[in-house]
Order: sequence, then C-alpha cells, then structure tokens
Amino acid sequence: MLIPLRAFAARLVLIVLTIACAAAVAATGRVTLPLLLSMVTAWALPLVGVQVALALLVIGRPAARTVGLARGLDLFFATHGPWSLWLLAFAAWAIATSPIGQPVRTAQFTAIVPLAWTARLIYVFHREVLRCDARAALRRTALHQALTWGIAAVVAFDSLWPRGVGLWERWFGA
Amino acid sequence: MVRRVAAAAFVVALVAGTLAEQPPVPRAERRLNGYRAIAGDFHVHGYPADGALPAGELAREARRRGLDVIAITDHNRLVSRGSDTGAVLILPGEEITMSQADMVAVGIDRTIDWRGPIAEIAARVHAAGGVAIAAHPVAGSARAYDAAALSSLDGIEAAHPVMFMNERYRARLRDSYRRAVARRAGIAAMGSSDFHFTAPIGVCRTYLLVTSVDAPGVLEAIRAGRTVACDAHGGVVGPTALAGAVAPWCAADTAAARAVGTFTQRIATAIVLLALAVLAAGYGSSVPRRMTIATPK
Repeated sequence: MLIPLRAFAARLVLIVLTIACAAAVAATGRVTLPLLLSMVTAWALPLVGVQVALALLVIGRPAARTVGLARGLDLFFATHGPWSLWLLAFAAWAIATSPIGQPVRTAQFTAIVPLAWTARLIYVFHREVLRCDARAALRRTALHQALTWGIAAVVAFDSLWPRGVGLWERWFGA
Repeated sequence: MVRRVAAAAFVVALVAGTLAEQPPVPRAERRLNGYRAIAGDFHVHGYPADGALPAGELAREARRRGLDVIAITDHNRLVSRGSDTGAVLILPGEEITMSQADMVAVGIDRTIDWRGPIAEIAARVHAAGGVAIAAHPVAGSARAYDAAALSSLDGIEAAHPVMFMNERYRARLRDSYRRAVARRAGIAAMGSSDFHFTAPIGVCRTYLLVTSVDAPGVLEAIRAGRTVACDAHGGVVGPTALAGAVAPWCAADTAAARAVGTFTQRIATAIVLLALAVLAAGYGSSVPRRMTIATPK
C-alpha cells in the first residue's frame, strides 16, 4: 500500500514543482529557491488542491475502481503529463524568444494540444480504471473538464465582464 | 536511473541558480533640471488577481530591472494599498476595465466604479486622490478616447508592448498620444509593461522628474507632465527637450534590463526546465501501457 501512495506523492510533488517553475521562469526568466517557494504557495498548491478535490469526486467511490485509491489517484494525475510538458515548453519559449512583440496568443493557442490530449487520457482512465462504458466515460470526462475550466472561466470573467456588457449594449442598445 | 539523475540535476541547478543571484548594482542618483530622475512602471498586475507574482516578488523583480517605483493595477479593484520597500516604492492602483477601453488609476484610496463616461470616471479617480492614465489606446479603445475623454486625463500610455505586435498598433499608439497632446499640452507620456505573466516588468517604462521619491512626489510629476515614455528598444516619447535628455538613460537601462541575470542562472534555468521535462515524460511511462491515447477495445 505504501508504494502506490509514495508514487502518487512523488507525482504530485513533480506537478507542483512543474507549475511553480514554469510560472517563475515565464515571469522572471529564472528560478531561485525563494521564488520557487513563493510560486508553490501562490499558484501550484491551490491549483493542485482543486484538482485533488475534483479527482476525489471522480474516483472516490471504492466500488467504481479496479485499483486502490492511491493507485487510482496516481493514474488520474498521470493525465497531467501533456500539461506539464506544455507548461515547460511555454516557459522555455518565453525566455528563449523574449516575448516582446511576440504573438503570445498564438503560443497560448497551442494549449489546444494538451487540452485535447488530457481529455482523451481522462476518458481512457474512466474506461480502463473505473470500467465505465463509453457513454458514461464521455459524460464524466465532459463533467470533469467543465468543472475544471469553469473555475478558470469564472476567474477570467471577473476581469473581462465589463467588455461583455459593452458588447451587449452595442448589440441590443441597452 | 534516468529519473534519479534528472532529480539530482534539478536540485543542483536550483541551488546554483539561487546562489548565482546577484543583488542589483546600486545606480548613481540621476538628476536633471534640479529634479531627481527615477524610472517607474505604472501598469503592473499582481497575484492574487491576474498577475503571476505576489507584491513582494513584484518589488524584487522591479528592483532587479532597475525600477524605482511601480503601481499594482489589477482589474476593477484596489488590491494593494501600496508600500515602500526601501528599494522600490509601490503605489496603489487599479486598471479600470470599462466596456470599450481601459484606464489606469494610480495613487487612489478606493476602488473606482467602471460604469459611466470616461470623463466621469477620471473625475472619480481625481476625487480618490489619484491620476488617470489612458491604457494602451489602440483599436477600439483609441476610438473611445474622444476629445472630451482626452481632456480629462493626466497621462496616456505612449509606450506599451502592444506597439511591437504590428506597425498598425504602433502607429495608433503614437497617434493617440499626438491627439492627447493636441487637447492638453502638458499631458504625461507614460511607458508601461502591463505585466501579467510574461513580457518583463519595466519592458516599457516611464522616466519621471520628481521633487521627492514618495507617492506625492510621483503623482505631482505625472500631473505636471514631467515624464518621458521609454519603450523596450530605447525609443522615447515626451516633451522634446526632456525626451532628448532622458534618451541615453532609456537606451542604457533597457539594454541592461535585457541582459539581467547571470550566465550561471541562465544555464541553471535551462537545466531546471530540462530536468522537469525528463521527469514529466518519465513518469508518463509509469502509466499502464493500455492507458494511452489508443482506443480501448
């Protein structure tokens, strides 16, 4: 039982470090221990915490799983692989090319690759580990992704909703 | 074995990068026309809003890039009350995101409501003790800043990373500044990074001639128009004589900001990213073979 738990813990640590390092490098061009700790606290722990909570919702019920909880969580977080690689690639691009005038939006658009890939992996997880049929797997994957990106959208909407009001006023003359 | 090597490389590179961090070299005080000349970035986003760095890290990064003052300007809320770290002065601010344009408010003491005509919003900024600056007036926001709106402002961003995206934005930014000067001759030319996650703090910056390096001194300099906008390639915009005097500092400081960080740190950063990529790819291989992108049977 300890081995799956250790593997899961190691994977979580790796994801936390990846998020924190990528954010630090993209923002400042370097990573130091104090900066890393700051980014772990600010970004990585809250993001991973939310994902752990969502993962427990998905795979918490023992009857649904073909493996133990720790192994199940480990396999679930393996689906973060594409995002980890994309974050690191984006950070490397940000410091290698100096994004002044660079089309950052174009680089951000490449996130569609890990987005699609991760969704596919989560679908396969539901089929292989939770033994869901195709429909249930699709439904549960869609729900998980909707929850994940819904939280992100709420945060983004907070800054941008006056623009939405402007568009509404232009279209409907309110 | 590969994972152990990668993990060890990560740790060694992280420690090396930390030890290679050099404190910023103190710069000789600059003076011009009897004033103290300082560099600032008055459009910076911070954590926990939509900026990457918390206030302490923003101050450290600002110092590292040769800035004396920054304003934390998160969207539609006053998050930071400001502080003086000794090395960098942090002013409270807000990026007022309106329906068609944005305005940066610096030195305010309360959140400014974004609803209403631009001139009315600027009046609220003034009532809150701050200065009102047109933010990246290109595209739709350039049209929103009409004559009445321009007359209500204390400053306008004449240097911003958007100007490097294409020639049309660069031309529109300069045109907005010219229109603003035509309406109000003493309007402050501002350079800002609009830092969120990339495009370093101070990549475009403002040089100010201040009587004192504190919030009242900075705000008075902006209101008086004793500013020059400096872009990432050393170009300057502002009153002709002032811009000419500041141009050498702009060229030197932007070159120094581009070269910030030691060689050891650059190598260490590259190793950190590579080691994490190896570990991320390596842990992927611990997934059961069937759990791949292949279609399950």
